[in-house]
Amino acid sequence: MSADPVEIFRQEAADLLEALEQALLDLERRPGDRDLVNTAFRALHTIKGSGAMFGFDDLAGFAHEFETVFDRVRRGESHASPALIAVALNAQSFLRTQIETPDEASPAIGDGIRRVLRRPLKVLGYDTQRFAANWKNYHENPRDSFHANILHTFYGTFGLSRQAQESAMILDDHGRHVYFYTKVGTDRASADYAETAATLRSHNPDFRLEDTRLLKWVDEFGDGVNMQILTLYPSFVLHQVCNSIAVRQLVPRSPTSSDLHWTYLGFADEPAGMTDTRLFQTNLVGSAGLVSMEDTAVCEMVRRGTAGSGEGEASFMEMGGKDLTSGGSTKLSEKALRNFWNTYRVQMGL
Amino acid sequence: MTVSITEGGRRAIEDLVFEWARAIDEGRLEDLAPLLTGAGQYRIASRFNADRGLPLAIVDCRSQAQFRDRIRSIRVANVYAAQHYRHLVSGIQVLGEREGAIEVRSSYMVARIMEHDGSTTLFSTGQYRDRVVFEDGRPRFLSREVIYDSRAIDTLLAIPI
Repeated sequence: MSADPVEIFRQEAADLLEALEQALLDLERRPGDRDLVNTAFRALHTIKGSGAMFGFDDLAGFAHEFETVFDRVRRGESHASPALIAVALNAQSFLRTQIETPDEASPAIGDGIRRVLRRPLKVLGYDTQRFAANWKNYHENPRDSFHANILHTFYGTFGLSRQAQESAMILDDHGRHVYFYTKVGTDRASADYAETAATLRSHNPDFRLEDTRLLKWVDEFGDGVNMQILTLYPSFVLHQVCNSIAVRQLVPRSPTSSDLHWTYLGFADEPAGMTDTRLFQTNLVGSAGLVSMEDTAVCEMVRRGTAGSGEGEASFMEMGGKDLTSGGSTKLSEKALRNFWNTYRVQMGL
Repeated sequence: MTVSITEGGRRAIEDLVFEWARAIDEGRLEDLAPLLTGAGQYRIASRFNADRGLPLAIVDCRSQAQFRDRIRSIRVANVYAAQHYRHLVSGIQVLGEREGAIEVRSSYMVARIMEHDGSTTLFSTGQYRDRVVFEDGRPRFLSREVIYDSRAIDTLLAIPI
């Protein structure tokens, strides 16, 4: 029998997370059940306490914020809505992966969440995209940071972004979570920039919006980041695109059909004008988003392209190699995709 | 209804509603913007959100120029499978004048036809909620709000409804 205290914590936390998951699933059916809310709260409270005791500080911090939500439900200040349960199930799954396979990149990913979700939120509305592709097709998208300038040409076409902007893509060690962001106003005067840009299909210096109000945004977090796409394996995305803030939940419906549920958010205490700016910038994202509408269409195209023509057939495009490390460290690499698929296959025992 | 609308005015409003649908179905997307006033608004929002008092719209054009920008974007920037629509518009009701504009309602069904596999599917149903004004004797949309019935959009919404 192991006497390793960290191992004991892992075992205890695994049991608590199982109880938490059951409570959340039951709450979906009985949202008014106070006993279930208390069970969820107590499980999180204990995970927080023992996590802090055994040195899992980030995990304890996350559990604390999670617990606070259920404390509000317990006090009757908030209710266990389907949206809240769905987010809670994602958070539960995140806690579980953090306990089972902690890694070094996770603090940065936690920072990305805290960077945006820093004050009490309000829901501005929902949007669902239903697309004919496997849920894993969608995961290739945020892992390919170069795709934005090839696929999402609204940016380049209207001067919202350039390839030479400062950007970063932070992954955890297993290719599960991806934290991608870009900063504006950091264009480098690179000698080959003009030439490179000219070959990009999206680049057209004569192309301007007639009504540029759509591109006006407020640097509300004070760090110049105009876009953050943070993807948590397996099914959660938090985005900030200018002042649009939303979480996306990826829900498989069948091997060839998936739903992407968008929940648009603002801060509960912000002035009406700020909320209006966020609502206006919904034009950029979601089902009809000028920047991102094509993501789901491309998932469908990729699925059609890789499905093969006969039963059991499939095609594969080898780019920078087949192992987990080849392909260099630039943005022009699909290394993150290989890591993602490898993690999935290992987890599924394939 | 405080102000009566002439039979001719009613016909002109119906023509405006039908012209919008036909221009889309015939791929004449550039002909849509002139059907809005200069400050004309065009929104697409789900009934799911509207019923809950949630303000989100998936398309929120706040001027004729913004509408033109969106059309230009879907022509040159956005990537999506080649497709076209067929509108059926019915039940046009001219409700009367309120705050300087004529309130009009109608229902629509839109079939979407995909070029790559020839499939025709019922893409969207919903209601147009219009505010119409006459400029130089011609009706235009001061605002056109599309409230679609299903909360889910199949793949994406590129071409306006």
